[in-house]
Formats: sequence, structure tokens, C-alpha cells
Amino acid sequence: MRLLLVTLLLTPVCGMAQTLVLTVSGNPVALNASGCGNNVAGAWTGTNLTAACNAMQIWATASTTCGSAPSTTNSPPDVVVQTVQARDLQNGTTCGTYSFAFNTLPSFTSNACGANVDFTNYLCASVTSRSGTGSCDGTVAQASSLSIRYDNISPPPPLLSVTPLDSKLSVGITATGSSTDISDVQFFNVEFTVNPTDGGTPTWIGVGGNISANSGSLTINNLTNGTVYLVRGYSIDEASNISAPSTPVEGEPVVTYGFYANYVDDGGQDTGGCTAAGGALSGLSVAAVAILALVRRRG
Amino acid sequence: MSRAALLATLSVSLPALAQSDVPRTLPNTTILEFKLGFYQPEVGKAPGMTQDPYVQTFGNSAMLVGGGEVDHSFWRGYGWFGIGFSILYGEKYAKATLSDGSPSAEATGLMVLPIQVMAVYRYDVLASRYHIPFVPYVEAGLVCEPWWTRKGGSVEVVNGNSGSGVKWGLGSIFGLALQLDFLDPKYAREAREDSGIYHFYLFGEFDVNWVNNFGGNGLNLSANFWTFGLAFEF
Repeated sequence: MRLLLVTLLLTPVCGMAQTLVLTVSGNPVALNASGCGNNVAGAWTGTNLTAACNAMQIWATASTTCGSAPSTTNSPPDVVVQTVQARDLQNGTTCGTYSFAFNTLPSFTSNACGANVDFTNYLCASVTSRSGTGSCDGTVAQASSLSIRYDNISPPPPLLSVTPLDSKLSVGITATGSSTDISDVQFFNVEFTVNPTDGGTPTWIGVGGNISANSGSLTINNLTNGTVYLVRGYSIDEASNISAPSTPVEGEPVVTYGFYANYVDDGGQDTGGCTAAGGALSGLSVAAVAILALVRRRG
Repeated sequence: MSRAALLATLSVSLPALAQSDVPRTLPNTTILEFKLGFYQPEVGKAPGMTQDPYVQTFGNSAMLVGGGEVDHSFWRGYGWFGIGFSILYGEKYAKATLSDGSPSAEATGLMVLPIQVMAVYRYDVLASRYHIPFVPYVEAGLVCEPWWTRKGGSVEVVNGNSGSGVKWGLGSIFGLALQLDFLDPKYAREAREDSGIYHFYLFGEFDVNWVNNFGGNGLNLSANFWTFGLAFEF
């Protein structure tokens, strides 16, 4: 799991810069309905927080901006997930962890976890420092862009193209749908099977694992020329939702003739390798030594 | 070079003829060459061949080859005599074909790596004694030429045989180098004093190679071809 770091810089108080770093496990956090029972966990660290004059709060919001503190007037209201008392900060506490149930995100007040919706909430943190006058009205740090997404909508299936090669099929895969759908696709999966000529049920074989959406291509090797195969694919989005299978595309590997095949067909007798040279290597060595000896003698 | 250009070059050089130097002992030098050329192996001329598969696959189009050569002299009595080592690399790609001859989606290629060890003679007397900036030269020696084919991203295999190997043969080169010192004698002198580079050359040479395992069967990589390049003598 990578960690997403959000650094908050507070205005220096007494000449010391205050920092607050909020991290969350998983970058980005994006879950579908299978994650409704999960917890979102992370950690925070800070420096020079002894000037804090009120509690540090970590909260989730459905708003795209964090604001300076959790809001009860937002709709849905923000949810505070962690509070660190000011006295603990003043006494030198500089780090801690937090954890909260994924299904307590603000947007779940109007959507059941399991509903086919797609929303993003944000995790924020702030702490207020004492100002130069000594009152608790110094700069407030605020975090943003630490996103937590719930997405239970499957992406559209991809569009496949198949190019026949010699004992291989080259598969091109393209995400479909709206621009949001397309940018949301992270991986493709591909399956193939021999086209059942008797109307039987095909046995699909997965190939290539998770294929990056940036790549969008795959070669299926070790196939039989002249056999018709079916190939289909799936799109997988950021929240691991899997699309329905794409419409199967037929492909038939074919024999192709390269330079060496043409050479053999035209009567060429070279079977490759180095042994055909016979004694040429030793001949070359003898000749090279002879040239050197001759040159040195005359020089 | 055209006749007019030749006359112009000689007119620059001829004044020096009147004061041609007394023959002096020249130091042994090393010549470093970088060259490019177009190479088309005579694959179809091997015994038993019914067609030329090179032309059949790639058309009547030579492959671009490029590489370098290092020569070192051992005797400077009358001209420049030494030994040279050169290595070139070339490749040619085209679409592999289907059984009906139409192009497939796969590429096929032929790669060659001619390596030569040669005796070299450069007649640089004109340049060193009479300041005529032309240096004809000849080279002759042995050629070792690894070759390999590719189709669909890997070495092509036919009937269980891998399309790769090494061919041996003889090679010769007939070249003419133009010593560039006359273009800027001051710069040439500075290059000699500061960098130890005695001369710069532009050259063209004609390669005549017999690379067929000394007349044996198999892939014939013999070719007659031109290369051109830039050389430094230091």
C-alpha cells in the first residue's frame, strides 16, 4: 500500500514552522460494496505543535473543500473521525493513528453502502495555533485532496480488436463509455477459448493477468494456426468493479513467411548455427597471427 | 569529385609542391573511422537457390549499415601500412507474408554484423610529401559475419532450425580519403598540437566481400557496396 501524504504548513509561531502530515492507507482509497465492512486507517504526524491551542481534528466531508473546521451545516454534515486534545499536543505528542468505519462516511447518510452510486468524500485535518497576542486565533491549517471514494458502478465492457499472427493473436483493448468511464478504467482482463463448433459451452482461459489500461494490448502465444479462437475482455475500474464481458471477437492464427522461411522455400540450405563455419575460426586466427608477425618483422 | 572541384583542390595544394619536404620519418598513427553505407547481400547467388529471398522479402532495396573501424600503422616507410579492425551493423525489416503473398501483420527482419580484420595500406605519400590531399588505400582480410533473422519479435524458426548463424569469408576495400587539413591549415595545426589529431578525412570506399564460408553452401552474405564516412588520424 502506498501512502498519500498531505502536508499542512502552519504560519510560524515564535519563529518555528509547524507542520502536520496526514496519511491514509491506500492511495487512492477507492472501494466498492465489498468494502462496506472495511475500516479506513491512517496516521498523522506533526512538528512544533506545542503552540496548538485547541484540539486537532481529523474529519471526513462530502464537500470538495475542507474548510477550517468540521461543519455541521454541510449537507450531509461532516463526520469527525479523530480528535487529539490540545494538552496532548502541548505536552509533545507529535504523531498518532486513526481508524474509522468506511460506511460512516458522510455521503452514506443518504446512500446505503451497497447502493450503485459513485461518490468521493475527503479526509481533512486541522489544528489552530496561538497567535502572537496569545489568543487562540492563529493560523488554522487545513488538509484537502485526501480522497476516499465509494464506487459501486461497473464500467462498460471494453472494445477488442484481434489481429492474426503466426501461432499468435495480437489483441488490442480499448475502454469505452464516457470520458469519465474511460479514465476510470485501470486494468483489463482478457480470456480466450477455442470457438466451439458443436455449439457447446466454451471454456474460457484467462491470459495476461491484469493488463494496464495504459498498455491496452496483449499477445496470446502458443496457439494453433488454422483454429478459430474467441477472445473477450473485461474492464476493471479504480474501485475494482469489473465490467460485463465484451462481445467475443474471433481470431484465427495463420502461417506467415519471414525472410528465413522464404530463404528455405527458395532452396536455401543454411540451417543456422555456428558449426557451418567449419575450420574457418582457426583459419582466421592463424591468418591474424601471421599478419601480425609479418607486420612486426618488417616494422 | 568533379573535374572542376579536383582542379580547385589542386590549385590550393600545388604551391606547396614547389617546396615539397625532404622525406622524413613519420610516426606510427591510429586512424579511427565512422562510416555508413548500403549493403545488399547476394543471398540468391548461393548454390541451389531458385530465387533471391532477400529481394523477395525486402524488395530490391539495400539495408543501411553503419559502424566503425580502427587501423594502426606499423610501418611508415613509403605510405602507411598497418592492420585494421572494423565492425558494421545493419538490419532490414519488411512485413512477413501470408501464404497468398499478401503482407501479414507481422514484421520480419534480417540483421547482419560484419566484422573484419584486415591488412591496410594507405598511400599517403602525396599528402605527406607533396601536400596533395588525397590518400588512396586498400585493405584486405578476413570477414566474420554473424547474422540472425526475426519474425514477430523473436528469431524465426523454420522446420526446427533457428534462422541465425555465423558466416565467414574474405573482404577487400578500395578507398579514397580526402585529407581536410587544407580547408583550415591553422585549425589543423592546432588540432595536432592540442588534441594530437594529425589529420581529419572524409572518405568513400568500395567494399568487395565474399562471405559464403569460402564457397560453401548456405546463406551467401557476399556483397559489393559503398560506404562513406569521417576519419581521424591520431
